[in-house]
Amino acid sequence: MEQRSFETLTSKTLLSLSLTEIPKDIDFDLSLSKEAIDDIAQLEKCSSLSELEMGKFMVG
Amino acid sequence: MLSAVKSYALETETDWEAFLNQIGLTLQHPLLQNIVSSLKSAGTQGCIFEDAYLDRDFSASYSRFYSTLFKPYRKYCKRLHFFRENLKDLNDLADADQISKAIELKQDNYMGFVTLRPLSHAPVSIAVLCKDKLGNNVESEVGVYSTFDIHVMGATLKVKGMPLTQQDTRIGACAQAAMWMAGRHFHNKHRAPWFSVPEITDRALKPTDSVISKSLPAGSDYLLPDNMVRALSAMQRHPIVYAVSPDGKGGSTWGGFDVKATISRYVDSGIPVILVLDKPSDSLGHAVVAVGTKRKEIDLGTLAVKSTQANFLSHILVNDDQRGSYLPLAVGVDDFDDAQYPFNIEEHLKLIFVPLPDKVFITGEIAERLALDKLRTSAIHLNALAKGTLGDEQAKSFNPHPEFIAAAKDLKVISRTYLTYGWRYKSRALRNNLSAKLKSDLIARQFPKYVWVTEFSLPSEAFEHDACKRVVRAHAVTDATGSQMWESVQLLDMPGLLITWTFDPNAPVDLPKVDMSLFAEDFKCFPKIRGVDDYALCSVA
Repeated sequence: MEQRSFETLTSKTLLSLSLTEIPKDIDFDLSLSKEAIDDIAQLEKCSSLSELEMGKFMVG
Repeated sequence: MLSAVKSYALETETDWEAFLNQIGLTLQHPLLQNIVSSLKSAGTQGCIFEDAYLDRDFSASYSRFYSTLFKPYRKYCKRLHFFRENLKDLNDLADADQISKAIELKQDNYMGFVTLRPLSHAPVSIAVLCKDKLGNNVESEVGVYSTFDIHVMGATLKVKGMPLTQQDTRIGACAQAAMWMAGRHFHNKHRAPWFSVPEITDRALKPTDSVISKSLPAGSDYLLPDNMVRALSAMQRHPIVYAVSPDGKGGSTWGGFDVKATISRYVDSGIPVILVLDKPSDSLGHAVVAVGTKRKEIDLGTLAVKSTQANFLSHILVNDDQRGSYLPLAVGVDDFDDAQYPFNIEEHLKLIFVPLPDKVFITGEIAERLALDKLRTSAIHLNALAKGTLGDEQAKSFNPHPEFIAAAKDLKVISRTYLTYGWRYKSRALRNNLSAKLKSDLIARQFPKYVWVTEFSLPSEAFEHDACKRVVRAHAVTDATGSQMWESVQLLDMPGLLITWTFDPNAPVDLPKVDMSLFAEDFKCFPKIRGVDDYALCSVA
């Protein structure tokens, strides 16, 4: 493995806030997007070898 | 004398032939041929041979089956330890204690061991070959392994590797062999229960059925997927099964499912994944165990959205009970070489069994999709958040890593997701180049037993074979007991912004408290380096 160094970075927090303090006019919705919901629904379908095929598929 | 132990120099082909003749071993089976061939290629020059070795695995098979046969079998095995030196110096040592100490001093050249049972049709009871000497190279990495302590001639040697066994076709088929390999890894690495092949077959056949009873002894020719799930569950695993779908034309398809990414996530988590491969010409599927990955160089311009580290893979490394350890199973037909390994994932993979630990209720692909969505949402709204909280003037100078933020908005970052212990994530994170704010939060933060960690990188900073050369710009941590039905991401750390979600144990029905911090600086950190909890391997003073 090649060794390397990162630049020294100084942590400088500009602002810390909790969600309740976010001004209401700021557009920052953290809920799951529709695209992600659709993708996850699709991922959950990807396991569909029929029960009939599972019952006769031999591994040996 | 019951036991005899000898050392042999194996510097030439003549040495090998004489050695194999002397111990009565013929290389008629492809598995043994491949093991010997790979040992030769890796520079083996010497062997310590133990005769009349009592192998716990074969003893289990012997007492359960072979001792019940009319044809007599002996119960003793032979064990061979291979070294990358000729061992001639051992002959010059007169004292037993000197020999024992001298063997331990050969640890750096120890290449692993093979235990041979007295079955000419299936001699390999267990083989553990050193993953660093026979599996890893610039492109390849064995990600599933543990350290085996081996005792020989009063010396203790260690070998890091993934165990291999061979089906004997009398008490088990490749399905049992694959589950045995996974089970033995969990036993050695995580103190899971010890299971022999006969015990695995017993668990697989309860309850039994007519299909499985077509062979004698039952289960010796094949198992069905349900039998495998039963056995894995009895082995205290919590298997998840992925299967191909019928394509409506008499064949099967994975559709848009990125199966190589799925395998890669679990292997990257140190979990052996059982793959069932099947060619149209074969009557049975063949089970192998995915234990590592092999990378290749690709044109970064060809990367699609939502790409992962699996896009850089050409092969999955597998342990195959018929062929050997750490063998390259091609991901796609472009990298497929039938002479090298006769299957590929694109055309031949039918089933995947992932033997998960308990308390993992969310799959890697869903955890990754949740994390990626959080990253994208945060990137899209980062400017609005800065303006709304800092004011227009100060927000003008708030411009964290524009290239990464743009890539995150377009889902063009490279994701890498793996399962790890919550405590181990914390340990690694505190030693990585993360913000002091995140570290101060992490040190007191409670995590579930397992978390999914998703690392995000720019494609130009993710493609290197050497993990130390890759750069991680953001990461998210997702509760492995979580769900997409409620907030399961625990934290997101990205250029300019840190978000944490914290449940209040005194108010379990409340939504988690969300804390955000804006940063003036970007941080770039190391990816997880397999096998180490810090980054000394990558860092220079």
